[in-house]
Amino acid sequence: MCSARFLERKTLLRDQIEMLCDLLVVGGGVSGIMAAITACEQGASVIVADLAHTRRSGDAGHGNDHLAAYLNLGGKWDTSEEFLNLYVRLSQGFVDREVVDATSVSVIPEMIERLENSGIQLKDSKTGKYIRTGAFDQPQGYYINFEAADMKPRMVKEARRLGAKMLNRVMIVDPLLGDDGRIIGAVGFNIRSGEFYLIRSRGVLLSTGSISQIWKNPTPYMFNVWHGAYNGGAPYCLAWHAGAEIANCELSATSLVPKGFSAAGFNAIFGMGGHLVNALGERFTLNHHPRGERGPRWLICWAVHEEKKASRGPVYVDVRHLSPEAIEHLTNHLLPVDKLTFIDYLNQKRIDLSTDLLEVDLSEQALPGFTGKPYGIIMDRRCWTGIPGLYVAGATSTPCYALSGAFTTGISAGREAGKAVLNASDPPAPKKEVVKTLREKLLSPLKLTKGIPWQDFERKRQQIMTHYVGFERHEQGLLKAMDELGSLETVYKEIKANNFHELMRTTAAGHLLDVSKLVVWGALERKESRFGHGHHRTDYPETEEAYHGSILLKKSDDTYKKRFVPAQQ
Amino acid sequence: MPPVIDLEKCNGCGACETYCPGDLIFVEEKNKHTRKAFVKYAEECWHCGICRLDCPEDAVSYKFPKEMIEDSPQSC
Repeated sequence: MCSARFLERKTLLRDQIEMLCDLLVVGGGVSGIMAAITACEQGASVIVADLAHTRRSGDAGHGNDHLAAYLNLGGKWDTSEEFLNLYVRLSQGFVDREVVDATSVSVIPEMIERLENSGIQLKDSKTGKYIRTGAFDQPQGYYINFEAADMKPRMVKEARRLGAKMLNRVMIVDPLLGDDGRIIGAVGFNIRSGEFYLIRSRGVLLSTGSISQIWKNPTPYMFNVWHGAYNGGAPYCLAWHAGAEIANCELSATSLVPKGFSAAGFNAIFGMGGHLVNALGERFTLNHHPRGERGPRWLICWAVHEEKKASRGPVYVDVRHLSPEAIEHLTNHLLPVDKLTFIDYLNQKRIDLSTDLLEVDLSEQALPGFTGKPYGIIMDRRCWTGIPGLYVAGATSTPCYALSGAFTTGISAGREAGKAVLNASDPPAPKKEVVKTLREKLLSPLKLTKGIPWQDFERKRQQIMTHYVGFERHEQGLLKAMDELGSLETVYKEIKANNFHELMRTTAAGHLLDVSKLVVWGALERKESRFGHGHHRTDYPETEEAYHGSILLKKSDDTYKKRFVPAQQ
Repeated sequence: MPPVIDLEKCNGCGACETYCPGDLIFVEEKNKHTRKAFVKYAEECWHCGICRLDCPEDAVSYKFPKEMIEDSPQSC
C-alpha cells in the first residue's frame, strides 16, 4: 500500500490547488495506471493526472483485442530470447536491446500473471487455450487475442485500492524544474472547473501515450485519427522542456485503415489471414515481402502507395476466403474490440465482409505507440530519462511497443520510480514568480476580447506539416516548414479560448507546435530515406548505412543539440 | 462523427459525460426534474464508442457522416 503522504490545500487564490506527493504520474492510460500500481506497491504516494477520466482514458480505454507476448509453451520461437530478437529486428536495430529486455521482455511473464490474477480473461472461454495470431513480420503468432472492455476499470480500481489518487479532468501543462535541473512537479488545470493545480512531487512519470494530429488525416474531421486523439503534443513536449532526449520524431508511422475511417484493425485482419488486393484482384504485397500482408507495416503501406501510383488502385481487404468461424471471430471478437464502432461503420457502408471487399487506404502520419516504433523519449533500463526525477513509460517512451509495451514499461517504470522517489528529498517549493508566469501564460487565451479559434491555428499547422513534412520531404520544403512554423508561433498568442474546453485544445495546439518543430529538425538532420513513408526524402531517396541509427534531439534554448546512436545489429 | 443520443432513453445519469475521453458530452437540465445528455463538440468525436459502452440505458448510437462513408459494396 502506498503511504498517505499527500498534502492538498486550496490557497488564497480560491481556484488554485496545491498538492504534494512522492510521484506524479502524468497520463492515466494503461502504462500510467500500471506504473501507479507498482509505485504504490513500493510505498510511494502517487497522484495520477489525466485530462480525461482514468477509467476510460488512453488508447486502450475501451479495451483491446491483441496482446504481444511469449508464453514458453513450446517451440524455440515462444521464448524470451526469440521475442527479444524480433523486438530489435522490427525497429531495424534502433532500440536498445538491453533496455528492451530489462523494461519489457523480461517483464512479460509478470504482465501475464498480473492480468490473469486481476480477472482479465486472456484464454478463450470455450477452449481454455490462448488464441494467438501473428502479423507485422512476426514469424509466429505472438499476439494473444482477447477481449477485455473492463480492462481499464479493473486496473484503476486496483490502483485506487493501493492508495493512488486519481485527478481526472486535470490537464498537466508545464513541468516545474528546480535550480539544479531536477523535476519537482508540474502545473495544470481542470478542464471543466478551471482550477489551477500546482503539484509538487519528488518524481514525475510521463505516460501520456501516442501523438496524432501532427499531420492532417484525409477527412475533414480533425479527430478522425488512428491513436491518441486527445493527447495533443504533451507526450513529448513536457519531456522536451524538462531537458530529456527525444529520438527519431522524423520517422513517422502510417497504417492502413478503412477508407475514410482512421480505425485500428489491420493487425486483426491480416493476423487472421486476410488478403490485400488491388483493383485487378491481385495480392500485390507478395511482390514486396515473402510474408505478403504479414510483412512489416511500413512496407505494406509503401506497397499500397506503389499500386495506386501505378494506376492499379483502389486497394481492398479481402477476407471472403476465410472460414465462417474465422470471419465470426474477426467481426465479433477482434474488430469491434479494437475499435468499438468498426462494425457500425461496416453496417452503414452496407459491407458484409464474408461477401464484400473493403476499400482501405493510407492513414494519416502520426507518432503512435505501435509495434516496431523507433521514436519516443529515450529511457534507460530503469525507465529513467537522465533528468533527475523524470521517468517515462508507454507509447511516450522508447523502447516500447504497443499494448504489451505499455503494460510492461508501466510495471517497470512505476517500480523503479517508486523506489527512487522514496530515497529522494522533498521537492523545493517552486519560485512564486515562475508559477505566476506559468499560470498567466496558461490563462491568457481566456483573457482576449477577440482572437482566432484554435481550430484555425491547428488547420494551418497541419497544412504546413502535411505539405512540407508529409509523405515526400526535401531540404527546401523542410526549411520552408521551419520558417512557416516560426511565423505560426507568433500567431499562437492570438488564439482566443471561450471556455476551459477550448483552453484545453489551445494548450494542446501549443504543445503540438513544439513537437512539429522536433519532427522538422529531425527530418532535416536525417539525410536518407527509411521506413517507407516514415521518412521519405526525395533529395536523399536511398536508405544509407551512415544513418542507420537514432537521431536524438535535446532542447538547447530555442533550438537543439543532437546526438547519433548507431543501431544495434 | 457525432454520437446520437436518444433523449427518450437517456436518464441524465452523466456516464457518457464523465467517461468521454474528449470532453465532448455535457448533461444539461431540461427542467426541474429532467437532465439530458447532449453532444456539445460533435466535430471533435474520435468515434471510440465509450459513450455507448458505458451508457446504462442503451441510449447512444452512431451515424457516420458522408465523408467517412462511401456507397455500395465492391466485389471483384
